[in-house]
Parts: sequence; C-alpha cells; structure tokens
Amino acid sequence: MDHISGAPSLSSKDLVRFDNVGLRYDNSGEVLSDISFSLARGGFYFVAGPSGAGKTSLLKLLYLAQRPSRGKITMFDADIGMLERRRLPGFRRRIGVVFQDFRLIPHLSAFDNVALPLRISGLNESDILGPVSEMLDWVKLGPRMHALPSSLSGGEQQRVAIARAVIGRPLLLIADEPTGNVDPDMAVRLLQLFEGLNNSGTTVVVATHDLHLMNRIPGAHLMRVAKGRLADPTGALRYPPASRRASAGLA
Amino acid sequence: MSAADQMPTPLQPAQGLAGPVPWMVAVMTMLAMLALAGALALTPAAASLSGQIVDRVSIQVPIAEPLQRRMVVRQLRENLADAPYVRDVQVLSESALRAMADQWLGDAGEDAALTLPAIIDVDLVSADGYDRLVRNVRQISPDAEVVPHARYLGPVASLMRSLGWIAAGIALLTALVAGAIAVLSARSRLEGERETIDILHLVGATDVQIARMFQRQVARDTLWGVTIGGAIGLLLTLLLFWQLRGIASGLATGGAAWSMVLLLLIPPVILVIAVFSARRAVLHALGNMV
Repeated sequence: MDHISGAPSLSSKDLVRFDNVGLRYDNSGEVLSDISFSLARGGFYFVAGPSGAGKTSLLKLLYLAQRPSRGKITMFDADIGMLERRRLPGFRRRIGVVFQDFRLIPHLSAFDNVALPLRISGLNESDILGPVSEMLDWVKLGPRMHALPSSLSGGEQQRVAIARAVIGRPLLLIADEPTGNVDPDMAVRLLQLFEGLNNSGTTVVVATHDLHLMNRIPGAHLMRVAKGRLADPTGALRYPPASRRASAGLA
Repeated sequence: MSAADQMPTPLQPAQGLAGPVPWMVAVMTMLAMLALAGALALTPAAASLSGQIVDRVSIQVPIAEPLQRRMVVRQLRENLADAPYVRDVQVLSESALRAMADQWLGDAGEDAALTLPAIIDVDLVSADGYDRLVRNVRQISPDAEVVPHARYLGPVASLMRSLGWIAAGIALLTALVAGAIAVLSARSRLEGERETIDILHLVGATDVQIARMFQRQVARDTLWGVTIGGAIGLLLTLLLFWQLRGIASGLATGGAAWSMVLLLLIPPVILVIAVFSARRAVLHALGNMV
C-alpha cells in the first residue's frame, strides 16, 4: 500500500485538493488543522486513525456536509469555500456516501431508497425502474427490492446504502466505517464492491480501523489522521503548510 | 411534474387527523368564519342605521292641554311641510303613542289622565337644515324640544361599526394564527426530520425540493383542518343568521351573496397562508444549514 504522497499541486488528474484546511464547529477549537492533500481521479484511499482523530470531520468536508473554516478545498475544479449554496446540490450529486449506520430512510423500501438520488435529480419514473433494479441485482438484493430496511439484515442494509450511493454514478465515493456493522465475510464482499466501482473509474475514500481490510487493496493509498492533523505512519505531520515546512526544514 | 414531486415522500408519513394540527386549524378556521360573519353582519347594519338616523329628528311637544297641543302640532306640521329643508313630516298618532307607552307602562299607559307629548318625526333634506328647523320650531312653540336621532342612536351605530371592525380584525388574526400553527408544525417536523434532511442533502436535494415535501404535508394537514372547520363554521353561521333574521331584518341590507363568498374564501385563504408560511419557514431553516 502506498502512503499518500507529496504536497499536491492540482492537476487534471486530481479530483479533490485540500490546501491548509482547518475546520472548527461553532466557537470551539479546530477539529482539523492544516490539512493538505489531493485525491487523484480513479484513486482508492483509506483514511485511518483513532476514534476522535477527525476522520469523520474530514469525510464531512469531502462529502460537502461542512465547509472549511479556513484554507481551500478544490473539488471538481471549483473552490468549495466560495461556492454558492444553491450550487452545492449539483456537486453533491457527483458524490456517493456510505455510512456505518447505513442511514436508510426507514419507511421507504429498498427500491425507493436506492431510487432516491435519481428521483431527486428529476429523472422520470420510466428511467428509474431499470437502473435501480439492475443496481439491486448487482448488490444481490433484487428479490428483496420491496423490503423495508427494518426487515433487512445489517449486511443487506449496507448493500442498499452502497447501491444508493453509487446509483448516480458518482465521481467520488466516500464510505465512513462501512464495515463496522457487518460480519467479516460481508466486509470483504463490500470491499470487493468498492474495488469494482474503483475499477470502473470512481475515486473511492474509505474510513476504517480495519488494517486487515486495508491490506486487501494493494494499490490503495493511506491517509492517517491523528489529533485533527494528517499524519504519516510515524505520527509526524505529513503535509504542513509551506511556511511551516520551510521553518521545519521539511521543504 | 417531475419524479421528485411524485415520489413517495422520504419524510415520516403525516399523522393526518390523528395529529393535533388539523384540529387546531379547524378550530381557527371556524373562529375566523364566525368572526368574519359577525363583521359582515354588523358593518352594513351600522351603515344602514347611520343612514336612517343622520337626517331624522323628532319634535316633542310637551303641552298638557290636548286642544292646545293639537293646535301647535297642526301649526308645526303645516309650517314644516312647506319648508325647503324638510323632506317629510310625520305626526305620530295618539294611538301609536299610547301603544308605545303601553310597552313601557303596561295598563297604566291606557290611563287617559296620563299626559303624553305629541311627537312629530321630520326627515330633513340634509343635516344642514337642523338649525333652521330648531329656530322655526321655537318660534311656534318655545317649549317644544327638537331631538336629533343621531344623538341617541349615533353611538349605537358607531359601536356597531367598531364591533364590526374588531370582528374583522379577529377574523384576520385567527387566520394568521392558523398560518402560525402550520409554521410551528413545520418547524417541529423539521427538527424531527433532521436525519432525513441530511440524507436528502447528501443525495443532492435542493432546499426547494425539501421545502416542497414539507409543504405537501402541511397542505394535507391544513386541508383537513380547513375542510372540517369550514364546514362547521358555515353551518354555525347559517344557524346564527337564521336565528337572528327577525332581529336583524330591520337593519340588514343586501350583499348576502357577497358575504357568503367572503365567508367561503376563509378556508382557502387559511390554506394558502399556512402552506406559504410553512414553506418560507422551512426554506429559512434549511438556508441556515450547510
């Protein structure tokens, strides 16, 4: 596995770039500081780190649930910090998100949960049936398409969540501890799903504690988050801002 | 209509009549209709009363001796009938006066010994003729008293007008309260749906799309409320008008059809206020999210 490399310069290969990004909630201290990295198109990334390190906050910035308090995030060639609020939905439609707790809508069937992004994007019902059925078949839930989430197992719910995340053919797929609530066999199968998507060109970011899982994707990059900063495996700051890099003699 | 408008709502299913909102809206609708019905009844009645009294005066001739009283009354009638500022002169007959006195005094009113003043009702061409009338009456009978009807009934007409405006204000406020109920309901629903809203935002829903989902639920709840409240309000209004028709017949003027149209407009107006207030509240709240 490669550890994520060098301070990034945005190229046509880069889908996302963070420059010196900081995040704070309300008036509290920063939960993320000096985060700099870039994600290449078609890359596979793991985000690792202890609980409370800031992984989820980092993912929230990636899936546009938060905007940075400082620094600059460039995503899909746009400065997210400067993006008008009304343009956010269009950007979010290019991102798929999978959560540990699935976040399915409980009174909608598996089919309707998966169809949600397509309906939101305004597709006609006639254009929805085929892709959604196909997607549910792909995650091996075709026969259960009318089941409510409450009647599905944890693994099945997670597969519905993945199907919902990828039905809109996102450029970026983000998964926050996607295997946390499923058994090891299912975790491997889910990872295979992510790998399949990655092979078709989707950039995948998976936050996980599971080292075993990380080792199953040999070409994946690893980002370690510790105490709100991006760190290398030794714990040292990996991408300090240019000014600090110079003063620390890291340039 | 796009699939987003037709899709099964991701929000929790509305409680419908099992929830409190339709019933609160129903009560507000009913109260608004009753208040407006009051306003619609009082305002034309006050106008009618004002129109009837503004140019009318009564001349009381308090002379005890009957022959002299009749002579003065005849003189006044003849004099006033030719006056250019007088439209009409009517002398109340003694029997009519006795009948009026009977209403207050019972059998005592029949007592021939009881002296009643003579009363002449005069309709002036305009209120400007009042001073000339008083001068004219004083010349013929210094003891006669000229009483403008507006002195006694004017405050009543004014009170009726005020009550009418107050009732209209209550109708408006009640309709706005119904809107406020819808806003509070939408806000509380918004809190309960935070997780779903986050999901909807994540899959790329716009604020307008989400607001529309809330709007539909508010519209459903409010529709139930205005339908029930409107039906009860209309029934009660018709019942009250039916009961009051004897009392109001002398005062009410036309416009019943317009009144009915205005009354029937209350439910849809409340529905529109509620839905658009809720939409604005939801959009405002969503605008404060990331």
